Amino acid sequence: MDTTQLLKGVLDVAVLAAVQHEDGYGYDIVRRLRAAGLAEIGDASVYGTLRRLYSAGALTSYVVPSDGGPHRKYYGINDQGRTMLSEQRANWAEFALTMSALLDSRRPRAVRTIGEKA
Amino acid sequence: MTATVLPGTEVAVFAAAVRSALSDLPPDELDELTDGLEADLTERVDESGLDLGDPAAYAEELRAAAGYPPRSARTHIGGTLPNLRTLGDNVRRNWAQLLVERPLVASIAAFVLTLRPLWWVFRGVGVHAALAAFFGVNALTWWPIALAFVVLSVQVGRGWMLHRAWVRWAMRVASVVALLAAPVLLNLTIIAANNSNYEMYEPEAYYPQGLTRDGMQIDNIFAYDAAGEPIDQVQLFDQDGNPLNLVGDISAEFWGAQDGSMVVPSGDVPGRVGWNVFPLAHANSWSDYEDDGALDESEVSETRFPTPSVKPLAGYVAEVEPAN
Repeated sequence: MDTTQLLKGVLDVAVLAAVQHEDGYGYDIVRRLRAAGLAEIGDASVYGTLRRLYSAGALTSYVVPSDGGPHRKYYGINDQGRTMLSEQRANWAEFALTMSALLDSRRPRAVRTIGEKA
Repeated sequence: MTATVLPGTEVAVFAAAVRSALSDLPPDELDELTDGLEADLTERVDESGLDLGDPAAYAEELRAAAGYPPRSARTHIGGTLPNLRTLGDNVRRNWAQLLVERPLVASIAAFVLTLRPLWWVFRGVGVHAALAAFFGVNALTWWPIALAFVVLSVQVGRGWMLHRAWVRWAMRVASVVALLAAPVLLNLTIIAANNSNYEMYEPEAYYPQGLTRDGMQIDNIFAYDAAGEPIDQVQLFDQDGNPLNLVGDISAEFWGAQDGSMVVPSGDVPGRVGWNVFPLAHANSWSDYEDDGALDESEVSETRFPTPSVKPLAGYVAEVEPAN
């Protein structure tokens, strides 16, 4: 399966998670996501997502000049972003369980029961 | 794109192409969206090589992830009237496409981008010239101010404070001012060049060779003694005792006279060519020279004096007549 299609739906939460502990600039965040296993993530997608999350009020942004090179734009999470992250984390957990259960062909009935409890 | 392009330039061209492809966005949005793009691209190039891929695809990915509608979805209100903004967008989009499709154009663009520092310097000097003209002071005298403007302009060109919108606007204004000041600047350059010319490029005066009178070449000299009779041979010297000669090159065997004939030196002076023995003999024409270039002695004619004799000097007459 082409995971880039799957990634599109979870970019927001992935990016929020990548900056939840430490601020980062664009390529830095791309690197974190790839190190976490999302090898196919496109850097332009990450930059666009960062910008959109910033516009939505979930991130703060500041510019850091660099020695002899172009300046870097850093992003950090704020309270609204943390709220968004926890909501989406919960959504994802539920969704992932549902999908896992659905895809687990061995015990369809038992899975449905677990899904309803969640 | 060619491998000879420097990484920084490659990044600059790529970033410019991305911005072109996104130029339909409001300028502030575009600035925010692509702020820091060069830094990110530079790091990516450092890490995984020069191949940045297709800037147009990159731009679309950026646009989609940022939640903007695709370019094709844009409609402009205004009916059939030509929309200048759309026109500008089309030009930019075509330009971005051109950069991607034509490596030569991209190379030229990269070359021009490399020259940007020149423009930064010009911008600084131009603003200075404009301000000097405005305040009516001599821009050359106030050159330290120009230096300050150049430093400022170059620093901003290198990205200093450029993330501030007002700095970008100030630079746009400065660019326009500098362009308008270009004629003033040209004038200053000419003045400066002229001032230095007086010292450095004084044209070498032309000194004609040989002996001249009022700029005219003298071809021969005829001497008459005190009695007014022509003197066959007379040796003349200048104030330093150097043999007087009519020709530029005293080792020459003949010298072209103004009337087309030639004068030849006397062969009677031991040790050197007798150019100072007057009157010089005439060779009547070029045909007097044989094929090997040597002068046929038989063709050399005695020079005719302009007049057989001149009036004797007053003193001479007074002295001699009583003896007769």
